[in-house]
Parts: sequence; structure tokens; C-alpha cells
Amino acid sequence: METLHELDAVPVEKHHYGVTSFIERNKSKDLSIFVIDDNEAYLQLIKNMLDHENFSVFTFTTGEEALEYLQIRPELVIIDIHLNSQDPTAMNGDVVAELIQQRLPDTEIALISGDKKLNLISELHSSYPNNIIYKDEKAMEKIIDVSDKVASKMNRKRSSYKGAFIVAVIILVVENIIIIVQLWTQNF
Amino acid sequence: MKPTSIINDHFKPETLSSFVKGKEKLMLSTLKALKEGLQQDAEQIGKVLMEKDQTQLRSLAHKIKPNFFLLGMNEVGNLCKELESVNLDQEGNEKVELLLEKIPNVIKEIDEFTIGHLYHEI
Repeated sequence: METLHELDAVPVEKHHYGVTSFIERNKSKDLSIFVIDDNEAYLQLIKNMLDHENFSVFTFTTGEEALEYLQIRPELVIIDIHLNSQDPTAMNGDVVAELIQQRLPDTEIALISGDKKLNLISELHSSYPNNIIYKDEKAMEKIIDVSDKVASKMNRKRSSYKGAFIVAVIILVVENIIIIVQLWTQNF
Repeated sequence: MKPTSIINDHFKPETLSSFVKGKEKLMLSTLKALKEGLQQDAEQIGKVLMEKDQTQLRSLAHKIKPNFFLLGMNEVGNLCKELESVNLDQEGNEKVELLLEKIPNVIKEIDEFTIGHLYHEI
């Protein structure tokens, strides 16, 4: 199971068009989200939309690239099912999603698709029942809705860690007080 | 003869505006990304058409289809939908050519809207 400090992942080098930069989680943001789509305009739209909502968003045009940055430990991955329009050999979203789930089982996956009639969709519905989003006029609303739900889940998780930590500290203090009192009564 | 529904299908800013919940900055940055994407996609479509790479062409059509729906251009979006299963015979080639002819007009309409919008702000 993940612990809080494991969630604060180390910065990761990112190579893009020959330029090396460092990307890392923004701890002041509620949630780290990976968005993977080979349609750069749509990718930009989702990123801008989620940035406005106080989420930390990392964008990738291929699943292969996103897999290299899993140290960031995103809580949510939004991934297009078709990812091979630029590179015919690129892995498709359902395959990438499975690989991410193997490495980060707690990460929530949302699949996006431009095609409601896709045969694959009915198969994927069983694995991701609530998180299949179509690129229609309600897409952005649904993406924000899924992100909000994951953020609430993460906040509850963080609160329960804090709660457990406070209880542990109280127990420790009480135990120490008892020991001090016992020693004190023994001495007098 | 070119289908008039495609010729008469124009960029509708109100569709994108509702997508981005009326956020102007977001709308302009999205339009910039859409314009750049369309320029690159047109280049790529032209290339795969020359190479007669049907699979890649279908894949590209699938990729750009939602962009036209974002722009409120449902007819062009539906043309892309048809191209998702296109065969590169004469009819198929004509449909691809139609899309390639349409894209520069779409870019022009985006430019006009963006410039008009910026001018209005000044």
C-alpha cells in the first residue's frame, strides 16, 4: 500500500524535442493527472481545463512516453484509446492502461474515445465501468467530474493517514505519561 | 460536384465556448492548438494520401474528427467519420481531397475569429 511520503515522488527528467527538463509533482495541487492523447489540440484543451481546476497535469502524446514517468505516481490517468495516428507502432490506450494498472494499482484510469460504436468499448466497460468518456459535448464536464471524484478520494485517504498519525502520537504521549507517573509513584 | 453541406459548414464559436464553459482565454488557447493541429494534420493527410496508406489515413481521420465537433463543424466531423473506414478508390480519394480543401478555410475562419476577438479586446 502507498504511504504519504511515497506519493511525493522525486523529480523526473523529461526529454522533449532534444531539450531536457525536470518535471515533478506540485505538492500544493490536489491531484496529479497524466493525460495521454495523440491529438495535441485535444490534449491541450484537457490540460488547460484541468489546470484551471487546480490540478497538476502532465501531458503525453504516446503511452510509451507516459510509462517512463510513472515515478511521479499520478492518482489519475486519462488516456485516449486510439494512440497510433502519428506512429502506427504505438501502443493503444487500453494496453497502456493495463500496464499502468499493473505498476500503480491504486491509480484511477479514465479512457476517452472518439467513437461510441467501437467494439472494444463494450469489452472495456467491464474493466472501467464508470470511467469511459466520449469526445462529445459533455466530455470536459465528465473529465472534470472524474477528476473531482478522484481528488475527493485522495483527500479522504490523506485525512485518514493524518488521523492515524494523530492517534498514534496521542497513544505514545499517554503511554509515556503513564510510565512517568508510575516511576514517580515508585519513587515516592 | 462538391457536397454543399461541407462547403456551407462553418466554424461556430458558440460550440467551443460551451465546451470551455465560456472561459475566453481557454477558448483562444484551444483555438491556437486546434489551428496548429489542423495545419500538421493536413500535411500528414496529404502525405499518406500520396503513399496510399489507407490504414494511416483512417487513423488520422479518427484523430481529427473530434476537433471538428469542437469547432461546431458537424458535417466535416461526419466526413472524417466516413474517412475512418475509407477505401482509397476514386470515391475515397475525392472525399479525402474534399477534407484537404476544407482545412485551409477552417484555419482562415479561426484566424478571422481570433483576430476579430483580439481587436475587439483592444
